[in-house]
Amino acid sequence: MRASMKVWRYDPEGDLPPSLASYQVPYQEGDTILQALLNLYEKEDPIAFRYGCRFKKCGLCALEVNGRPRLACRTPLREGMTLRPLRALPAIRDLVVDRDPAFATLLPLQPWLDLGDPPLQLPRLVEPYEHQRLMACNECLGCLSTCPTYRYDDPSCGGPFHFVKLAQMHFHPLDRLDRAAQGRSLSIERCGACLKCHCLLGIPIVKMAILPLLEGAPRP
Amino acid sequence: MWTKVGVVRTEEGLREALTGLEGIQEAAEDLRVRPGRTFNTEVFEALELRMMLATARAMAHSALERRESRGSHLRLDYPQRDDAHWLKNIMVRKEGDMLRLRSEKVPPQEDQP
Repeated sequence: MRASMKVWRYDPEGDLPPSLASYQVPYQEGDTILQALLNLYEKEDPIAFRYGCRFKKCGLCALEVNGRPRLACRTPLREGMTLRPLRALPAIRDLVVDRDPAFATLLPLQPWLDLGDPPLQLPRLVEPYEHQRLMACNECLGCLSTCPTYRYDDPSCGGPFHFVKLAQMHFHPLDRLDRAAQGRSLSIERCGACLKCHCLLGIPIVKMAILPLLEGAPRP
Repeated sequence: MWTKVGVVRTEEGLREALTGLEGIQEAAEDLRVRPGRTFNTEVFEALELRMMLATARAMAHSALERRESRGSHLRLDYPQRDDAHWLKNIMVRKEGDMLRLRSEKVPPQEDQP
């Protein structure tokens, strides 16, 4: 079988302006978008795209399908899909975006646990429910493409991804840094809780990350 | 490599694999990749191909050499483990285009029979 598919092509070194290219992709029932891209890459056209684990663990293959972020490895191929890179991040080539700016925003905030000195010793840790849910994040950065406020070129501006990472640490029983204050340093108050942000792995971002940080929810 | 140099191996399959690898090796002498420095996956796949071919040849040759079964190396033509002859490591060294195999005795360890 073949499916028609449009793919965003962009080559910063080429002479042609960025554009959507049309393809007829060979596919079998059950193929994912990633499989279709691999078929195209091997047989027709070396499109640039990122992928790693092939099964939703690594988060590298996030792209936009018909305008919505999706993981290529877990999205079944359908007739007439349009693939574009994540709009929230700078384009590198074709479907590949630069992931660095999203992480650069987080780095100054010590995005790892601060256990104090000497480290707290607790007899037994119980993992809070929120922490468990938030840790589903595989850092695919798809949520950034659903946020109307996030700007990668403004280091004082966080997006859903950053607030999920801060909330992970906020809800960790041993972390001692003020993650709510860090959220304010990333202009969390600019979030109007519009509920447009969407997590491909089902994390309720506003409810479990943004509101708890905004309201200073009690820490475990 | 997947079907003939996997866990289950035979002399016949390994020889076929080596013939297949020779074909790929020849084809790999004349590679063309798209120019471009930005996220050009064809370039690094071309680089990786050489290393993968060398590794694949080393694997197939040493699998052929080990005429016993052990762990995840199951030779259908030599299904038994043979401690009398094979308590050793097979080392592969690349010399020019050739691979040289030698074996090294494994010193006795506590958990060995």
